[in-house]
Amino acid sequence: MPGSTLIIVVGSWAVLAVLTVVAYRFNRSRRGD
Amino acid sequence: MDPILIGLLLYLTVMLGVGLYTYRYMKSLDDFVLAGRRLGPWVAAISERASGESAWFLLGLPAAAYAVGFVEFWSVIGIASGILTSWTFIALRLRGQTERYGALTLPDYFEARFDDRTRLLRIVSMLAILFFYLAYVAAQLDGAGQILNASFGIPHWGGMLIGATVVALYTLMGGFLAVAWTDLIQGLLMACVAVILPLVGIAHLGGFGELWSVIAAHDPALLTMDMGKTGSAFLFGVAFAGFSWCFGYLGQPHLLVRYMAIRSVEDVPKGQAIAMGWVLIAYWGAPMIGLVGLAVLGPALDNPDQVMPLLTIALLPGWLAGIMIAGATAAMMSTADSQLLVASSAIVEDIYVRLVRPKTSPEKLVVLSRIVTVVLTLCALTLAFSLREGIYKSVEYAWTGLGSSFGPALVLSLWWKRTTRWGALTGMVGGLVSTIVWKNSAALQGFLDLKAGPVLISAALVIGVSLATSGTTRDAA
Repeated sequence: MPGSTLIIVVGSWAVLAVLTVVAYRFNRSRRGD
Repeated sequence: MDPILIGLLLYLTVMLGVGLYTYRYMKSLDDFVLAGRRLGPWVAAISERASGESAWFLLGLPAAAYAVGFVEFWSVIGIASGILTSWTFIALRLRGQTERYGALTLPDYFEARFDDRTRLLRIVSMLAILFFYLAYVAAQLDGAGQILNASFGIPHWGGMLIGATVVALYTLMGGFLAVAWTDLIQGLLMACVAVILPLVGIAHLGGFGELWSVIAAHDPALLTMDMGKTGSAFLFGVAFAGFSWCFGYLGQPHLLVRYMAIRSVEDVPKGQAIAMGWVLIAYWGAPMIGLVGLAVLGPALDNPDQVMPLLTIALLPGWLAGIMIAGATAAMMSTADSQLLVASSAIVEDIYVRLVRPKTSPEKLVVLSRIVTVVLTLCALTLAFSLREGIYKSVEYAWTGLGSSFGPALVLSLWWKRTTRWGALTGMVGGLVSTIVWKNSAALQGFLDLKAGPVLISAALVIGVSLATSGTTRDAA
């Protein structure tokens, strides 16, 4: 498997996991809107 | 008796049991279309995931990966981004505002948000919902035909008929509550299938190294994410085309209604985390099923939409294969039932109650909703018999149509105070019409992907017309 494919697939999953945490905190802080 | 059939029948019996159990709770239209706004975060989130992932998830997407390889991961990245965006920027505000306006449906929300006394927003919404959902449900019934044909040799038309009957039965019995609870079971089952099936296949082949070498022996380009293209041909024709599944996520009424049904705004962040957990655990598995299917079954399948059930039968013992195939059936059913419910509420709640007979009794409305659900199922079944495209393309069309009609108008109405009624209306009409035009124009699709063009036109119309017309609507915040 080409390294670029591995980087994109694994990297995108890592970014999505981090963004999920950020988004969770964002929504928790806005519950009173 | 065939052990695969035993597994499947067991699953279908449980689904009908849930429908029967929830029947007693159906007392009003609010119960039927929104489960009385009392879903906890787990049921709401997994139900949203199960409804969001249709036959496309376990049949269409594996079929596409079987044909084009790792390039399909661009679609997966786009979908996962869309789910995250939608939960982050729509769920919380939509939940709060629909309760504030007393809105049961998306058209209710638009009408209240823009104080639309002309009823045009409601009528255009209903047209978009009916037009695109019939195509969407038809694709799901096609999926039922594919699964039952590949698994038991039942004729394709017979499989569609069985799928339509089961979905209509438990939707009729329990309404939204039955759909949400069956979705919970179905969503968990779908995740298990997406994770377990590719792992079993990889073990069967002897590990990842063996999988990559078998695929490379067929075509090394299947392991790349650029299909040998470079520059703008890669950027727009491959990466962006796949990623643009993201946009449609913002305007799917059958998913948005899950946000509206969550018990309280306090539960939204938890629901968001659960839904994204499901995505991160399960979503990589769907395209991997196609890639493993290519390695195990070879490249000469007559109908790639059947790669998942055929792979299941090839790899697993009968009873387990039955449960896995039930998972694919679940993907189809959990979407079709939610869509039938939204389409029936578009007629009963949005048109009959609001425009024809506002004082109809709650009991009569539930009966009417059930009759409409049967009629819509029959319409979708008729359409399914004439589908000429595979599941992937049929879903792409309906997905784009709904996303373009509702997505930009909804997001801007929630976040931009200057959005006006005319802006939302022209955006909706523009999204609906441009999807149909784009779908039938090879030149436009060559210029920009179907999933991106109409939604951008719709967004431009909402913004442009809102700026050009004086805003006399209620504030979004």
